[in-house]
Amino acid sequence: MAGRTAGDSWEDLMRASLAGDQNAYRSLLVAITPYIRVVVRRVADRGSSAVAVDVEDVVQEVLLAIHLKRHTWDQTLPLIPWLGAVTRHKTIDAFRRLGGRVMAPIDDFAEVLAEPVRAEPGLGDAERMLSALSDRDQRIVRAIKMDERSAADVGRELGMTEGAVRVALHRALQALSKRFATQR
Amino acid sequence: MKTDELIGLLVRDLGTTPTAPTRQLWRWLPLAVLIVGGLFLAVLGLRPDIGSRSVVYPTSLKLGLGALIAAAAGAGALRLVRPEASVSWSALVTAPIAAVIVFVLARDLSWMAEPAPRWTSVLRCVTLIPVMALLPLAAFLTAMRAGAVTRPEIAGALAGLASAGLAMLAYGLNCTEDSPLFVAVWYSVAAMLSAMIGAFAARRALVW
Repeated sequence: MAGRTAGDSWEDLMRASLAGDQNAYRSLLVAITPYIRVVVRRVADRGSSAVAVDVEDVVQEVLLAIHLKRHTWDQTLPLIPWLGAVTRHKTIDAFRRLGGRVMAPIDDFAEVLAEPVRAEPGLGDAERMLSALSDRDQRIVRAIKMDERSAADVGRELGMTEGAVRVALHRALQALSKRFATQR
Repeated sequence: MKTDELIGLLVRDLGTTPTAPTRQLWRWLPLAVLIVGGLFLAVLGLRPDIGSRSVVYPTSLKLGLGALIAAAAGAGALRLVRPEASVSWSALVTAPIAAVIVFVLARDLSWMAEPAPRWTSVLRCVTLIPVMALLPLAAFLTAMRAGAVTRPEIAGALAGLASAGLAMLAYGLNCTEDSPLFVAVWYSVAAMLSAMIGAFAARRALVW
Protein backbone atom coordinates (compact mmCIF):
# COMPACT_ATOMS: atom_id res chain seq x y z
CA MET A 1 0.00 0.00 0.00
CA ALA A 2 1.38 3.37 -0.90
CA GLY A 3 2.63 5.42 2.00
CA ARG A 4 3.16 2.31 4.05
CA THR A 5 5.66 -0.49 3.72
CA ALA A 6 5.24 -3.75 5.62
CA GLY A 7 3.11 -2.11 8.24
CA ASP A 8 5.28 0.93 8.85
CA SER A 9 4.29 4.31 7.56
CA TRP A 10 6.90 6.07 5.50
CA GLU A 11 7.04 8.74 8.20
CA ASP A 12 8.00 6.10 10.74
CA LEU A 13 10.62 4.69 8.39
CA MET A 14 12.09 8.12 7.75
CA ARG A 15 12.14 8.93 11.45
CA ALA A 16 13.95 5.68 12.13
CA SER A 17 16.33 6.40 9.26
CA LEU A 18 17.15 9.84 10.58
CA ALA A 19 17.96 8.14 13.87
CA GLY A 20 20.41 5.87 12.03
CA ASP A 21 18.39 2.73 11.20
CA GLN A 22 19.90 1.49 7.93
CA ASN A 23 17.31 -1.24 7.37
CA ALA A 24 14.47 1.25 7.69
CA TYR A 25 16.24 3.59 5.28
CA ARG A 26 16.73 0.85 2.71
CA SER A 27 13.06 -0.18 2.98
CA LEU A 28 11.97 3.41 2.55
CA LEU A 29 14.14 4.14 -0.49
CA VAL A 30 13.17 0.88 -2.18
CA ALA A 31 9.49 1.63 -1.54
CA ILE A 32 9.46 5.17 -2.89
CA THR A 33 11.61 4.53 -5.99
CA PRO A 34 8.79 3.17 -8.18
CA TYR A 35 6.68 6.25 -7.43
CA ILE A 36 9.51 8.58 -8.32
CA ARG A 37 9.83 6.63 -11.56
CA VAL A 38 6.15 7.24 -12.32
CA VAL A 39 6.50 10.99 -11.79
CA VAL A 40 9.62 11.18 -13.95
CA ARG A 41 8.00 9.10 -16.71
CA ARG A 42 4.99 11.41 -16.77
CA VAL A 43 7.16 14.48 -17.14
CA ALA A 44 9.15 12.73 -19.87
CA ASP A 45 6.01 11.73 -21.76
CA ARG A 46 4.44 15.15 -21.54
CA GLY A 47 7.40 17.27 -22.49
CA SER A 48 9.44 17.48 -25.61
CA SER A 49 13.17 17.41 -25.82
CA ALA A 50 15.84 17.40 -28.45
CA VAL A 51 17.81 14.88 -26.45
CA ALA A 52 16.29 11.66 -25.18
CA VAL A 53 16.32 11.87 -21.42
CA ASP A 54 17.09 8.68 -19.57
CA VAL A 55 14.34 8.28 -17.00
CA GLU A 56 16.52 6.26 -14.69
CA ASP A 57 19.21 8.97 -14.66
CA VAL A 58 16.65 11.37 -13.27
CA VAL A 59 15.28 8.83 -10.78
CA GLN A 60 18.79 8.40 -9.41
CA GLU A 61 19.26 12.16 -9.18
CA VAL A 62 16.03 12.44 -7.20
CA LEU A 63 17.10 9.69 -4.81
CA LEU A 64 20.46 11.35 -4.29
CA ALA A 65 18.73 14.66 -3.53
CA ILE A 66 16.34 13.01 -1.08
CA HIS A 67 19.36 11.52 0.64
CA LEU A 68 21.42 14.70 0.82
CA LYS A 69 18.48 16.86 1.92
CA ARG A 70 16.77 14.39 4.24
CA HIS A 71 17.35 16.64 7.23
CA THR A 72 15.13 19.35 5.75
CA TRP A 73 12.03 17.27 6.46
CA ASP A 74 10.24 18.72 9.48
CA GLN A 75 9.30 15.64 11.50
CA THR A 76 6.15 17.30 12.80
CA LEU A 77 4.85 17.61 9.24
CA PRO A 78 3.72 14.92 6.76
CA LEU A 79 6.40 13.30 4.63
CA ILE A 80 4.52 13.04 1.34
CA PRO A 81 4.45 16.78 0.53
CA TRP A 82 8.17 16.95 1.31
CA LEU A 83 8.87 13.97 -0.95
CA GLY A 84 6.71 15.47 -3.66
CA ALA A 85 8.44 18.83 -3.49
CA VAL A 86 11.94 17.36 -3.73
CA THR A 87 10.91 15.02 -6.55
CA ARG A 88 9.21 17.79 -8.51
CA HIS A 89 12.10 20.21 -8.07
CA LYS A 90 14.85 17.79 -9.08
CA THR A 91 12.83 16.32 -11.95
CA ILE A 92 12.08 19.69 -13.51
CA ASP A 93 15.65 20.79 -12.90
CA ALA A 94 17.11 17.66 -14.49
CA PHE A 95 14.87 17.83 -17.54
CA ARG A 96 15.61 21.51 -18.07
CA ARG A 97 19.31 20.79 -17.97
CA LEU A 98 19.21 17.72 -20.16
CA GLY A 99 16.34 18.18 -22.51
CA GLY A 100 14.95 21.66 -22.83
CA ARG A 101 11.23 22.19 -22.66
CA VAL A 102 9.54 20.86 -19.59
CA MET A 103 5.93 20.63 -18.59
CA ALA A 104 5.80 20.75 -14.83
CA PRO A 105 4.12 17.67 -13.37
CA ILE A 106 0.51 18.52 -12.61
CA ASP A 107 -0.04 15.44 -10.47
CA ASP A 108 0.64 15.88 -6.85
CA PHE A 109 2.86 13.21 -5.40
CA ALA A 110 -0.08 12.27 -3.23
CA GLU A 111 -2.12 11.55 -6.35
CA VAL A 112 0.63 9.40 -7.78
CA LEU A 113 0.61 7.45 -4.55
CA ALA A 114 -3.09 6.77 -4.96
CA GLU A 115 -2.33 4.31 -7.76
CA PRO A 116 -0.22 1.43 -6.47
CA VAL A 117 2.93 0.76 -8.45
CA ARG A 118 4.82 -2.47 -8.47
CA ALA A 119 8.50 -2.40 -7.77
CA GLU A 120 10.42 -3.32 -10.91
CA PRO A 121 13.52 -5.29 -10.01
CA GLY A 122 16.42 -5.37 -12.40
CA LEU A 123 15.46 -2.03 -13.82
CA GLY A 124 17.51 1.02 -14.06
CA ASP A 125 21.09 0.82 -15.05
CA ALA A 126 22.27 4.34 -15.59
CA GLU A 127 25.82 5.06 -16.55
CA ARG A 128 25.77 8.79 -16.20
CA MET A 129 26.04 8.88 -12.46
CA LEU A 130 29.10 6.69 -12.19
CA SER A 131 30.93 8.20 -15.16
CA ALA A 132 30.50 11.70 -13.70
CA LEU A 133 32.78 10.84 -10.80
CA SER A 134 36.51 11.37 -10.78
CA ASP A 135 38.69 8.28 -11.34
CA ARG A 136 39.57 8.04 -7.69
CA ASP A 137 35.99 8.39 -6.54
CA GLN A 138 34.86 5.87 -9.15
CA ARG A 139 37.28 3.28 -7.81
CA ILE A 140 36.05 3.87 -4.27
CA VAL A 141 32.38 3.76 -5.23
CA ARG A 142 32.82 0.61 -7.33
CA ALA A 143 34.57 -1.06 -4.42
CA ILE A 144 31.89 -0.03 -1.90
CA LYS A 145 29.07 -0.95 -4.24
CA MET A 146 29.54 -4.65 -3.76
CA ASP A 147 27.29 -5.28 -0.80
CA GLU A 148 29.27 -7.98 0.93
CA ARG A 149 32.23 -5.74 1.56
CA SER A 150 32.51 -3.63 4.66
CA ALA A 151 34.12 -0.24 4.77
CA ALA A 152 37.06 -1.87 6.51
CA ASP A 153 37.54 -4.36 3.66
CA VAL A 154 37.34 -1.63 1.07
CA GLY A 155 39.79 0.43 3.07
CA ARG A 156 42.26 -2.44 3.20
CA GLU A 157 42.06 -2.91 -0.54
CA LEU A 158 42.50 0.76 -1.33
CA GLY A 159 45.01 1.50 1.39
CA MET A 160 42.69 3.76 3.36
CA THR A 161 41.30 3.66 6.86
CA GLU A 162 37.67 2.72 7.41
CA GLY A 163 36.87 6.30 8.41
CA ALA A 164 38.54 7.65 5.30
CA VAL A 165 36.41 5.36 3.14
CA ARG A 166 33.23 6.67 4.75
CA VAL A 167 34.30 10.26 4.26
CA ALA A 168 35.29 9.53 0.67
CA LEU A 169 31.89 8.02 -0.05
CA HIS A 170 30.10 11.02 1.40
CA ARG A 171 32.26 13.46 -0.54
CA ALA A 172 31.71 11.48 -3.74
CA LEU A 173 27.94 11.69 -3.28
CA GLN A 174 28.12 15.43 -2.65
CA ALA A 175 30.40 15.90 -5.66
CA LEU A 176 27.91 14.02 -7.83
CA SER A 177 25.08 16.25 -6.71
CA LYS A 178 27.07 19.42 -7.32
CA ARG A 179 28.28 18.18 -10.69
CA PHE A 180 24.74 17.70 -11.94
CA ALA A 181 23.36 20.86 -10.40
CA THR A 182 25.88 23.11 -12.09
CA GLN A 183 25.72 21.47 -15.51
CA ARG A 184 23.97 23.90 -17.79
CA MET B 1 25.19 1.97 -11.82
CA LYS B 2 21.95 0.23 -11.04
CA THR B 3 19.49 2.15 -8.94
CA ASP B 4 19.58 -0.64 -6.36
CA GLU B 5 23.32 -0.15 -6.10
CA LEU B 6 22.87 3.60 -5.62
CA ILE B 7 20.37 2.90 -2.86
CA GLY B 8 22.99 0.68 -1.27
CA LEU B 9 25.46 3.54 -1.32
CA LEU B 10 22.96 5.97 0.16
CA VAL B 11 22.18 3.54 2.96
CA ARG B 12 25.89 3.17 3.66
CA ASP B 13 26.12 6.96 3.85
CA LEU B 14 23.30 7.25 6.37
CA GLY B 15 25.70 7.88 9.23
CA THR B 16 26.75 11.31 7.98
CA THR B 17 24.58 13.98 9.57
CA PRO B 18 24.02 17.02 7.39
CA THR B 19 24.11 20.42 9.12
CA ALA B 20 20.79 22.14 9.72
CA PRO B 21 20.33 25.53 8.04
CA THR B 22 19.44 27.29 11.30
CA ARG B 23 22.63 26.07 12.92
CA GLN B 24 24.62 27.39 9.98
CA LEU B 25 22.83 30.72 10.26
CA TRP B 26 23.62 31.14 13.93
CA ARG B 27 27.22 30.34 13.10
CA TRP B 28 27.71 32.80 10.25
CA LEU B 29 25.24 35.63 10.80
CA PRO B 30 26.60 36.85 14.16
CA LEU B 31 30.06 36.89 12.60
CA ALA B 32 28.82 38.90 9.63
CA VAL B 33 26.97 41.33 11.89
CA LEU B 34 30.04 41.80 14.09
CA ILE B 35 32.29 42.49 11.12
CA VAL B 36 29.88 44.93 9.48
CA GLY B 37 29.15 46.58 12.84
CA GLY B 38 32.85 46.99 13.52
CA LEU B 39 33.55 48.42 10.08
CA PHE B 40 30.58 50.74 10.42
CA LEU B 41 31.80 52.15 13.73
CA ALA B 42 35.32 52.52 12.41
CA VAL B 43 34.49 54.06 9.03
CA LEU B 44 31.15 55.84 9.43
CA GLY B 45 30.62 56.11 13.14
CA LEU B 46 27.61 57.30 15.08
CA ARG B 47 26.03 60.64 14.22
CA PRO B 48 27.55 63.41 16.38
CA ASP B 49 24.19 64.44 17.90
CA ILE B 50 23.25 60.89 18.87
CA GLY B 51 22.81 61.96 22.51
CA SER B 52 20.28 64.73 21.92
CA ARG B 53 16.58 64.21 22.70
CA SER B 54 15.29 65.41 19.36
CA VAL B 55 16.81 62.48 17.51
CA VAL B 56 15.27 59.82 19.74
CA TYR B 57 12.02 59.54 17.75
CA PRO B 58 13.51 59.42 14.24
CA THR B 59 16.30 57.09 15.33
CA SER B 60 13.84 54.75 17.04
CA LEU B 61 11.85 54.79 13.83
CA LYS B 62 14.84 53.74 11.75
CA LEU B 63 15.97 51.05 14.17
CA GLY B 64 12.42 49.81 14.66
CA LEU B 65 11.86 49.57 10.92
CA GLY B 66 15.14 47.69 10.53
CA ALA B 67 14.32 45.25 13.30
CA LEU B 68 10.82 44.64 11.94
CA ILE B 69 12.05 43.98 8.41
CA ALA B 70 14.89 41.78 9.63
CA ALA B 71 12.59 39.66 11.79
CA ALA B 72 9.72 39.30 9.31
CA ALA B 73 11.84 38.71 6.22
CA GLY B 74 14.32 36.53 8.09
CA ALA B 75 11.56 34.27 9.33
CA GLY B 76 10.17 34.03 5.80
CA ALA B 77 13.55 33.15 4.36
CA LEU B 78 14.09 30.41 6.92
CA ARG B 79 10.67 28.95 6.20
CA LEU B 80 11.70 28.48 2.58
CA VAL B 81 14.54 26.08 3.37
CA ARG B 82 11.85 23.42 3.44
CA PRO B 83 11.14 22.33 -0.15
CA GLU B 84 7.38 22.13 0.26
CA ALA B 85 7.01 25.50 1.99
CA SER B 86 5.40 28.49 0.42
CA VAL B 87 5.50 32.03 1.61
CA SER B 88 2.90 34.68 1.24
CA TRP B 89 4.84 37.79 0.35
CA SER B 90 2.17 40.20 1.41
CA ALA B 91 1.46 38.70 4.80
CA LEU B 92 5.07 38.49 5.75
CA VAL B 93 6.61 41.67 4.58
CA THR B 94 4.36 44.20 2.98
CA ALA B 95 1.83 44.38 5.77
CA PRO B 96 4.18 45.37 8.56
CA ILE B 97 6.02 47.81 6.34
CA ALA B 98 2.84 49.37 5.09
CA ALA B 99 1.58 49.68 8.65
CA VAL B 100 4.72 51.47 9.71
CA ILE B 101 4.64 53.81 6.75
CA VAL B 102 0.99 54.71 7.29
CA PHE B 103 1.57 55.25 10.99
CA VAL B 104 4.54 57.45 10.33
CA LEU B 105 2.92 59.56 7.68
CA ALA B 106 -0.28 59.98 9.66
CA ARG B 107 1.47 60.95 12.83
CA ASP B 108 3.66 63.64 11.45
CA LEU B 109 1.95 65.66 8.77
CA SER B 110 4.72 68.23 8.70
CA TRP B 111 6.13 66.34 5.76
CA MET B 112 3.65 68.21 3.62
CA ALA B 113 5.68 71.38 4.09
CA GLU B 114 9.10 69.82 3.62
CA PRO B 115 11.53 70.69 0.89
CA ALA B 116 12.94 67.85 -1.17
CA PRO B 117 15.79 65.97 0.57
CA ARG B 118 19.38 66.53 -0.47
CA TRP B 119 20.27 64.11 -3.19
CA THR B 120 23.51 63.33 -1.41
CA SER B 121 21.50 61.95 1.52
CA VAL B 122 19.37 59.89 -0.81
CA LEU B 123 22.40 58.49 -2.59
CA ARG B 124 24.13 57.71 0.67
CA CYS B 125 21.10 55.90 2.02
CA VAL B 126 20.35 53.77 -1.03
CA THR B 127 23.98 52.73 -1.46
CA LEU B 128 25.23 52.27 2.09
CA ILE B 129 22.33 50.13 3.31
CA PRO B 130 22.58 47.55 0.50
CA VAL B 131 26.38 47.53 0.76
CA MET B 132 26.29 46.90 4.50
CA ALA B 133 23.69 44.20 3.84
CA LEU B 134 26.03 42.20 1.60
CA LEU B 135 27.89 40.31 4.30
CA PRO B 136 24.75 39.33 6.24
CA LEU B 137 23.23 38.30 2.91
CA ALA B 138 26.19 36.02 2.29
CA ALA B 139 25.62 34.49 5.72
CA PHE B 140 21.93 33.91 4.95
CA LEU B 141 22.66 32.33 1.59
CA THR B 142 25.35 30.10 3.07
CA ALA B 143 22.88 28.84 5.65
CA MET B 144 20.09 28.38 3.13
CA ARG B 145 22.34 26.31 0.90
CA ALA B 146 22.17 23.67 3.61
CA GLY B 147 18.43 23.55 3.05
CA ALA B 148 16.32 22.50 0.08
CA VAL B 149 15.04 25.76 -1.34
CA THR B 150 12.60 25.34 -4.21
CA ARG B 151 11.82 29.04 -4.60
CA PRO B 152 15.27 30.58 -4.84
CA GLU B 153 14.30 34.04 -6.04
CA ILE B 154 11.76 34.64 -3.31
CA ALA B 155 14.04 33.13 -0.70
CA GLY B 156 16.92 35.30 -1.91
CA ALA B 157 14.74 38.42 -1.93
CA LEU B 158 13.65 37.75 1.65
CA ALA B 159 17.24 37.17 2.69
CA GLY B 160 18.16 40.46 1.02
CA LEU B 161 15.37 42.27 2.84
CA ALA B 162 16.37 40.76 6.17
CA SER B 163 19.98 41.78 5.58
CA ALA B 164 18.89 45.33 4.74
CA GLY B 165 16.92 45.39 7.98
CA LEU B 166 20.05 44.46 9.87
CA ALA B 167 22.03 47.11 8.00
CA MET B 168 19.44 49.71 9.02
CA LEU B 169 20.17 48.96 12.66
CA ALA B 170 23.63 50.38 12.07
CA TYR B 171 22.94 52.97 9.40
CA GLY B 172 20.11 54.41 11.44
CA LEU B 173 22.62 55.44 14.08
CA ASN B 174 24.62 57.45 11.56
CA CYS B 175 21.98 58.84 9.21
CA THR B 176 21.07 62.49 9.90
CA GLU B 177 17.96 62.69 7.75
CA ASP B 178 15.21 62.71 10.34
CA SER B 179 12.13 63.28 8.20
CA PRO B 180 9.78 60.32 8.63
CA LEU B 181 8.87 60.65 4.98
CA PHE B 182 12.52 60.29 4.01
CA VAL B 183 12.85 57.18 6.11
CA ALA B 184 9.62 55.66 4.83
CA VAL B 185 10.53 56.21 1.20
CA TRP B 186 14.28 55.88 0.88
CA TYR B 187 14.93 53.19 3.45
CA SER B 188 12.27 51.14 1.66
CA VAL B 189 13.99 51.76 -1.67
CA ALA B 190 17.27 50.63 -0.16
CA ALA B 191 15.55 47.51 1.18
CA MET B 192 14.07 46.73 -2.24
CA LEU B 193 17.50 47.09 -3.84
CA SER B 194 18.91 44.68 -1.31
CA ALA B 195 16.04 42.29 -2.06
CA MET B 196 16.88 42.40 -5.76
CA ILE B 197 20.52 41.67 -5.05
CA GLY B 198 19.46 38.76 -2.87
CA ALA B 199 17.13 37.32 -5.50
CA PHE B 200 19.79 37.60 -8.16
CA ALA B 201 22.48 36.00 -6.02
CA ALA B 202 20.18 33.21 -4.89
CA ARG B 203 19.58 32.05 -8.43
CA ARG B 204 23.18 30.86 -8.54
CA ALA B 205 23.79 30.21 -4.88
CA LEU B 206 20.71 28.16 -3.98
CA VAL B 207 21.10 25.50 -6.64
CA TRP B 208 21.09 21.86 -5.44
